Amino acid sequence: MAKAYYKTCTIGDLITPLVKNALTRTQFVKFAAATDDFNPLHFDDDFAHMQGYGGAFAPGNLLLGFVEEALYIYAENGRLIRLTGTFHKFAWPGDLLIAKGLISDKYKHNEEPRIDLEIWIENQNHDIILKGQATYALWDTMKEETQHEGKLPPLSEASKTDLTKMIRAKLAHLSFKEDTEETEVTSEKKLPKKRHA
Amino acid sequence: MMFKQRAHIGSLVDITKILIHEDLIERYRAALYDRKEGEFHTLPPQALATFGAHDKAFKLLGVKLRNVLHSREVLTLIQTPKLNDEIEVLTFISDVYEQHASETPMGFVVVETVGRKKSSFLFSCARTSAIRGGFPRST
Repeated sequence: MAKAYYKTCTIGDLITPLVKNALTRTQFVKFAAATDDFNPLHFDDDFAHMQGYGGAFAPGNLLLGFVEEALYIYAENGRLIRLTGTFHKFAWPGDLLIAKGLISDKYKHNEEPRIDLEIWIENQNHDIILKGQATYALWDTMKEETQHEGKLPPLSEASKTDLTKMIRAKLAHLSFKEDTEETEVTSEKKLPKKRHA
Repeated sequence: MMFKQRAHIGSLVDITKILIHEDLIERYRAALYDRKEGEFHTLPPQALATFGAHDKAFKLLGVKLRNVLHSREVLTLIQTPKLNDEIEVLTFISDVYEQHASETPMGFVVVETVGRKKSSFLFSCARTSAIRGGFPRST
């Protein structure tokens, strides 16, 4: 685990690559159990073969999770604000994946020190499996972090407002009103269900 | 070519309440992380991207899961939920389209999820899925 600070980050810096253990079907099933998403393409080889694939392959979100883990190891004291990923190739059981990244930009947004990173995952053949970007808020310096008792750098009110506006804009396109209370969702299909682990 | 699945753009598919329980965190940790040290006491942010009822969206569109491939994901975080938080997750369909690069069409569905705790938004996630063979015309 490491810490990162805005002052000492340089554009072009590489994050420490995260070398994962070989992928296993067991891992795919564990992920399916965690997400409650049991698409057989991700654990049933026979089914996957019948659909024209070489066998069961890794769920995309599992791979994005590896990237996020690599980022967390690079900057455990940073606040992840945005993570995007586009999937380029399948990852199969037995594949040895490495999550990598580099700092592509550093700037202040609403006075918050931020960095952007290019991120990607390679397999043992150096094929790119996934590519994406991440945005992190960082503390300016270690001193600043210490003054805040080791908490994560906060989002400014301006940033919270910007992000909230962005989400409200998405919801504005729904017939459902964003501020509708649960009790107003009348359709049985739409009633909230409780999901406990 | 028009297909009737586009009529579902803007449909709210599901509202789910999720309790951020220790076991839930542990399940994600077990699936994602090779290391067993106790450094991870919070839900991995990537878990939030999986909270949506994507299966319900595909069912509504008449799409079989076997034809669905994860194409792109955008996760935006305002605040990561904490242990014992109960959050509400809204799932809706924000876009449905087809592309014809060859004779076989490829469908695309953008399913978005928004997480909130009371009146505060916590995160949003937009997942684009590719649908092999495009959308069924008979649905």
